[in-house]
Amino acid sequence: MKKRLILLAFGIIAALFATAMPASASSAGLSGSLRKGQWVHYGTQRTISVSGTHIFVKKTDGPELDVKWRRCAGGAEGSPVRLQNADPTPRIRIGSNFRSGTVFCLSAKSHGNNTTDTWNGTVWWNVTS
Amino acid sequence: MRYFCFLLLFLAGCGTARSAAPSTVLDADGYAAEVRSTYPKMRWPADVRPDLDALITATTPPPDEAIQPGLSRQVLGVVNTCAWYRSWDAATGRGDAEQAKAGLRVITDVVTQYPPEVDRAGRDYVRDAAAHAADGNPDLVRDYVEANCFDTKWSS
Repeated sequence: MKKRLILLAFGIIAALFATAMPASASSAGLSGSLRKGQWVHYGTQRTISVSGTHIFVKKTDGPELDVKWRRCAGGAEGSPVRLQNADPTPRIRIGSNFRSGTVFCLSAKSHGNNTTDTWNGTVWWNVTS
Repeated sequence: MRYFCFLLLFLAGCGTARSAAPSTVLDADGYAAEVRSTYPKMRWPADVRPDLDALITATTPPPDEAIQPGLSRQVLGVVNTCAWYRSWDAATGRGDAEQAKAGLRVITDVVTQYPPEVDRAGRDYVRDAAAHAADGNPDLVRDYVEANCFDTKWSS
């Protein structure tokens, strides 16, 4: 009986883990420069390799800002999403349902007090939930 | 040789796990100059080349926005990948074995080096696309072109 309960607990933990972080999900640290009231377009590319997945961003340090994805080769971009001043922010979805093969870059615009600033955080892509 | 120098330059700009905060940014004119100076350092298939003016227009943000130096390498890396994929696909479709073989060599040896280390999914994608292409399967190659270059204007 005890052995069954332990196996059941392991099964539940494994299922929760699989739901929270799919094997295909990708993530990377972010560190970018900012300008007050001005979009800065960053040049680091990332590739969607799983169709229908989403992009999430979380800020761990930096002022209030807008962030958006854009296709690196031009022609498409997402709507700006606000990340509040208080850190760390929640993990916020900035784009959904991407086609496999899409190469995206990020852009950010500061709403802080400083003319120039920096921010740090994490970006997740190929996220299914 | 010139192309391999470019590849080294490209990799040097992509090698960090985190996106380094740049100390300076480019305006639209600076970005256009960067694209024009980077383009000839890359090797392009004879039958598929981008309309450079149209590409700059399509990828240049509005005048009041700033651009991180090095963005042109990413833009041209994606468009160069599309160009080689299109060239290989077209050569395969018309039965030009020699050109298809030459294109596949670039797809396998050069294009797979473009995604930065931080983009492991991208590295896996282009390696898978090359492997599928070697087996005669164009699905991943076509998906990439459709996802990134469906509206790119080509000059030839």
